[in-house]
Amino acid sequence: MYAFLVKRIIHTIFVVFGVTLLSFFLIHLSGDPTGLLLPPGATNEDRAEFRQRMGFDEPLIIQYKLFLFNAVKGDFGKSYYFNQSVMKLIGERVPATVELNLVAMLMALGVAIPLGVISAKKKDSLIDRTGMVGAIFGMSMPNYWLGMMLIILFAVKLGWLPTSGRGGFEHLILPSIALAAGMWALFARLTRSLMIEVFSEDYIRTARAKGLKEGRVVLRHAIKNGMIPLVTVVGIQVGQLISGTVIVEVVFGWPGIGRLIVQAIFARDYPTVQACVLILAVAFVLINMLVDVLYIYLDPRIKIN
Amino acid sequence: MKSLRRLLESKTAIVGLVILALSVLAAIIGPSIAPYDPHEQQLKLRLKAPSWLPGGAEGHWLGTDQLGRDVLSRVLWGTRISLIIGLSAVFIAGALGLMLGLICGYYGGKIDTIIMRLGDIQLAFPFILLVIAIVAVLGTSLINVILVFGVAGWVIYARTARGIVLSLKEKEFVEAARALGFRDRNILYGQIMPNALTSMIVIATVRVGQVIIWESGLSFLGLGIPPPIITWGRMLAEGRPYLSTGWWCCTFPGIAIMLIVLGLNLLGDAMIDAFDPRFSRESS
Repeated sequence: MYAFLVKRIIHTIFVVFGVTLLSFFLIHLSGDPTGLLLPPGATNEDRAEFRQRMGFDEPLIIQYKLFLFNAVKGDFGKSYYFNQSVMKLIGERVPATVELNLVAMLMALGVAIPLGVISAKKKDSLIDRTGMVGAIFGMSMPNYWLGMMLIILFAVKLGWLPTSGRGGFEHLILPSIALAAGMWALFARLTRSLMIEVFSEDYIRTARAKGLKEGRVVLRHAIKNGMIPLVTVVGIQVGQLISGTVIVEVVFGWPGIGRLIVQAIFARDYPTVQACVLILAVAFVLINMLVDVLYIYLDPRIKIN
Repeated sequence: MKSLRRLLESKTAIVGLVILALSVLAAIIGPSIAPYDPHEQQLKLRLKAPSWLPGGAEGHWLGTDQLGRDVLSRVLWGTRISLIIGLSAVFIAGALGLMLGLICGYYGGKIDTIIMRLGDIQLAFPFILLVIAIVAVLGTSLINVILVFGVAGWVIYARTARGIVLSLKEKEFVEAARALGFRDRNILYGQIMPNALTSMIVIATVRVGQVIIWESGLSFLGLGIPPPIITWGRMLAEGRPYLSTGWWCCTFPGIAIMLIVLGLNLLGDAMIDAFDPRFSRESS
């Protein structure tokens, strides 16, 4: 178990290092980054002065070392567009993104697990078929489009919920549903498959034979043992969640990191884009490492092996 | 052949195939049957509801947008570009991933370690975030969008192909080919690759749908293909300010995306059931 942990941590350090490298090279993709960072009308003198000031005239390896050193300190420079420290800017936006993502994830799991279990128990019934057809539709629609449809129905036509912005819980409902829909569909399908397999296991038959109530069999035996693979998929889906957040935040005017990235791209504020991409990717890597560690605790077979 | 028969007997596959056939048909003949020029602006007919609704504009089945352009004609034109991007990007990603996966699995060693670790690093980036960042730096154009989706999408194919090669390279038919003096290249492409193709095709089928959704998202953000090429994502972005006065501008392009992706997902599901009996048992 400890060997696995050490191996996993070394792998994570390596990937985080690679992520910093790729993030650094992002703004060098088009060649000279001064072309990206300065306005199109900048003179050659402006460019030369800027190149020297930013250290772009140094060899790439030196520039990368400086970038890495500053990133470790949490110093990503100053945003040209927002006129404040990039780290402070990100710090202000993180809570909104975390809030939206957490609620969306809880919503997806809260709907998917019961639906998946019921579908598995009543396999091929009307409820199973309807749920699974709904799930495949959920996986097929762009979440930002679903968001707009929800706005038309619940905000414009019925006037029940706000169209955009961040405030009370009512502001969270529509963006969370939009973000949760794709994940909900995937989790429900996976839960169904896992539960169908678990329900045919001997230990479930034994539990039933002992006279345990069906609710207890499902909750204490089937879900507890059968859902472990779902933990890994939840970890992987955090990446999809972050991707979805970028567009859903724009649709709902949600003041999170996703909207900040899009604002920064259009303002050609590349240091902010670079920092956001790096931070989100590192967060994703760390979450996946935590999920793997959690998996060890949930599945005793890994501890033994 | 048995797998193919199983696939064609599946209702899910048939529904998926019918949806896809209609989409491909729309992409091919759509522009010729479109009732209007998709760029033609009729400012007197701005934001007119579909013809089947009270007060709808006659002849405009799906209504008109904020510039009086026919929504149906634009949706039909958009089908072509969505399919072109989805198929081309997936072809590039699949070919690249398959080639790298075969090499990694067959030769192993340092080259395997380097390529697979590069894949790990790339997978650390939420996919659409990486694509947005690269397109933002490189600039928006049809070619850039296809290339970025293509190049950024190789990892899943490489990992799958590598796994298949690892499971096959010690098998008797490969040993036999080696004993008969076949070259590595011939063994890899002639003997092993055909076994990996089925899995590649299954992944690619579902992936085309995902690329179509991602591309529409990119266009929605204004980072996709620039005008005058019509994309469903940009139609959604342009219609967004008119959600209260012209809901049809956003609704129909979204339904088009959903239908085409639904067709691909249904077909993909049926293919998994038909080609991989192990998976079929798990999910039945």
